[in-house]
Amino acid sequence: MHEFALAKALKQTITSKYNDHSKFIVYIGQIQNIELEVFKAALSEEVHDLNISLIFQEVPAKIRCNICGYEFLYNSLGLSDDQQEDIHFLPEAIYVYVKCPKCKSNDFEVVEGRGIFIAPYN
Amino acid sequence: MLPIIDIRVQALKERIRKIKKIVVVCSSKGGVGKSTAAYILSCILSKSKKIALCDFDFTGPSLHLLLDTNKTFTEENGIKLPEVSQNLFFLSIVFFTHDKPLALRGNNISNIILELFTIADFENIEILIIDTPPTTSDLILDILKYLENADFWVVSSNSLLSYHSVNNFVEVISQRTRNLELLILNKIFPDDPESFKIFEKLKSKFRRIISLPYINNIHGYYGKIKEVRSLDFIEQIEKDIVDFM
Ligand SMILES: Nc1ncnc2c1ncn2[C@@H]1O[C@H](COP(=O)(O)OP(=O)(O)O)[C@@H](O)[C@H]1O
Ligand SMILES: [Mg+2]
Ligand SMILES: [Zn+2]
Repeated sequence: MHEFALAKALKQTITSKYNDHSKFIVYIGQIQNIELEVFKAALSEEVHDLNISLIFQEVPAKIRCNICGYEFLYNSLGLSDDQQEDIHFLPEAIYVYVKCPKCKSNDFEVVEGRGIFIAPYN
Repeated sequence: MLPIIDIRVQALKERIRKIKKIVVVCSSKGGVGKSTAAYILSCILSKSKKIALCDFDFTGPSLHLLLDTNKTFTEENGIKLPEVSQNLFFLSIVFFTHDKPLALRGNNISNIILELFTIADFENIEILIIDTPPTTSDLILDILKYLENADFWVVSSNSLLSYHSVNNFVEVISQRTRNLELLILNKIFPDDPESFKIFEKLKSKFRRIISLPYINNIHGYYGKIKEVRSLDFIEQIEKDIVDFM
């Protein structure tokens, strides 16, 4: 599963950057279409020896058109399962399938909700 | 507030640490034969090494055509690259775009590079060969930033226009890397050597210069790894590059 690669990346980030912290928030961009249960299972395998606690927060994906400025949400687009699957592996596949609902431009930006980020908290 | 960190940056670092050699096939010019050279050299190198041939020309991918393959990845601890011929593995954006067109801005390109290195399984790969689009734009700058130890194989055709452009390109990237390994002169005709001389000056910047001849009916060699290996100039190329491997 590709969630396992992401779990590994998360562990590598924690052990190399944050080995003096034990509590983290993991921000998961909606556009990644991550299966949270699979991701958590993969993570518990990867990090069980680290003695840390993780909180997960999904970040809704917000998109802004670079031409007309219109803002729209990823979950309003009605993409097919196959399209979402491609975007799940490579979020930039969104540029194949999506156009601005207002002006039909394919020049837009995912302003929020792309990628996986981690931050420690106290 | 403590910083928020993108998990892919560390993932990329750890991935490339395990790969013995990363080669970037590049040029400021389009149509000089970057993709063709990447293909031919991958055919040669995969005789004895595990190669991952990666198409980083995200808006104009062509290696799937050169390899004549529609094989795609399998899912297993990330994405596992298809083995298109023994020891020759392949990675392309067409796995995810199905070769449909797309337009990208610079930050999209950085995201794709980071994402691919996070999810692609390069386990056991010895040499990564990266094909790139023309110019010294975002992609090359990102490669210089993220793949610090990469070796650059610069491709030029044997013409004054190509020479001029490539000369400037080399000047720019040589300020950022000392790994100018190979200058590849492509599409050379037997009666060409006259114009060859203009490349003498460039030669000193590289560890080696090789030339690939103009190949008649080149389309007949797409997806034919064995036939490529038996072309008459291959033996010489093998000798020329063996000490880089
Ligand atoms: N050595 C060669 N002999 C014959 N044709 C070649 C050779 N190298 C490249 N070509 C042709 O030149 C064109 C451009 O090659 P390509 O590899 O796509 O260049 P680039 O990747 O630099 O844009 C293609 O039509 C290709 O078939
Ligand atoms: Mg090309
Ligand atoms: Zn718009």
